[in-house]
Amino acid sequence: MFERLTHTASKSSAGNHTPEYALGARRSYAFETITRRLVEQPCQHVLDFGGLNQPNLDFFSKFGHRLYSEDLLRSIDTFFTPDEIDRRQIEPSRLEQFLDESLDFPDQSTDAALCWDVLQFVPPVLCGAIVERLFRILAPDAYILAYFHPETGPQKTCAHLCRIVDGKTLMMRPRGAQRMIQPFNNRAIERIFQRFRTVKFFLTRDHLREVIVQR
Amino acid sequence: MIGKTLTVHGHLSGREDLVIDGRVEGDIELIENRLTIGAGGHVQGEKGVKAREIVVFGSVNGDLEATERIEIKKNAKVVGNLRSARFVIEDEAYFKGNIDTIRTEPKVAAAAAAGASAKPVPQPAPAPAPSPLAAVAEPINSPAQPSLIQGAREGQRR
Repeated sequence: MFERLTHTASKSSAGNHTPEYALGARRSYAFETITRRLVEQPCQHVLDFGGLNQPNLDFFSKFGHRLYSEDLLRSIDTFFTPDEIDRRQIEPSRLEQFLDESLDFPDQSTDAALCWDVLQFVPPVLCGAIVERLFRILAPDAYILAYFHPETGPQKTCAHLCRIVDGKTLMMRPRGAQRMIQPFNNRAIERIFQRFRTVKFFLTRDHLREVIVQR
Repeated sequence: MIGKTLTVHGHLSGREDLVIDGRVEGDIELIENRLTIGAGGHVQGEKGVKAREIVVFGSVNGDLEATERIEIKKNAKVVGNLRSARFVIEDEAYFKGNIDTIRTEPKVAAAAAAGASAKPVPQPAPAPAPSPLAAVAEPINSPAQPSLIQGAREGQRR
């Protein structure tokens, strides 16, 4: 899906096909919107749930932000048994324990959460709890950035590693094994973020929905 | 070097480089030296590890602080907070925690500050710094740029 976009070519007046971006890179308007805010307001506490990588760390360090990084999917795989995930039922105490280990921040203490496409690969019962916890730990006006794949896509696909190229461009490539993907239509996305102030959608040519949610 | 079969309980400190391939349960302080945690090495500390340079191939459960740099290699696993002037992170390393970058004062500025206290010297007007916004200054949906956005919708205010 991302690969399809990365090979998108624009036809110039001379009739030549010119790639819009370097291979694997895509422009993200939602990320650009988040970046604007992060550039304007220094010393923000940013949560990155896609796992640590050098370009993202360099990007946020450059602006003096404090980064918390975690590969949320890997943490879920490590913490929960396959049985818990397959049964789609997790004991509330286990759920709470996981949230306390992964999202243990004071209330309203963080300024942005970069979820990338992670939420779609999280079991539904856990996804709701994570969003609820994010609501608690994000400061008023803080943002969540999340990507949702098209509903009509395959049932299983890979999550993506999102590397920041610059303030408006991301390099996205598949990582890890294929996982079950939870389908989200726009209404479902609005519902999961219903406690938040606004949910803003950016639709792309490949029907990936880039979403910015404001606390 | 702490070999594969060794387990150390307690605080380690010293003035020489150290390679850990075994297990250390305690804090480590090598302020002027390099600490390497090998692929089979595991460190678990309460206060954590302090060194000039820390390179992790294995696993660490605790905070890491290095005056110069921290390197986390492929397949390494670090759960704890990082604090250093420089970081080198390889793909497929697992990390969970906060990252604080130590800001080092530029030498020119430090020298100028030192000189100013001894003898006032007229300073040239500083050149305007490039705006960090320059990289993102284009308005969204700028008509001059091909837009990936087909539509944007804002949810209701709740």
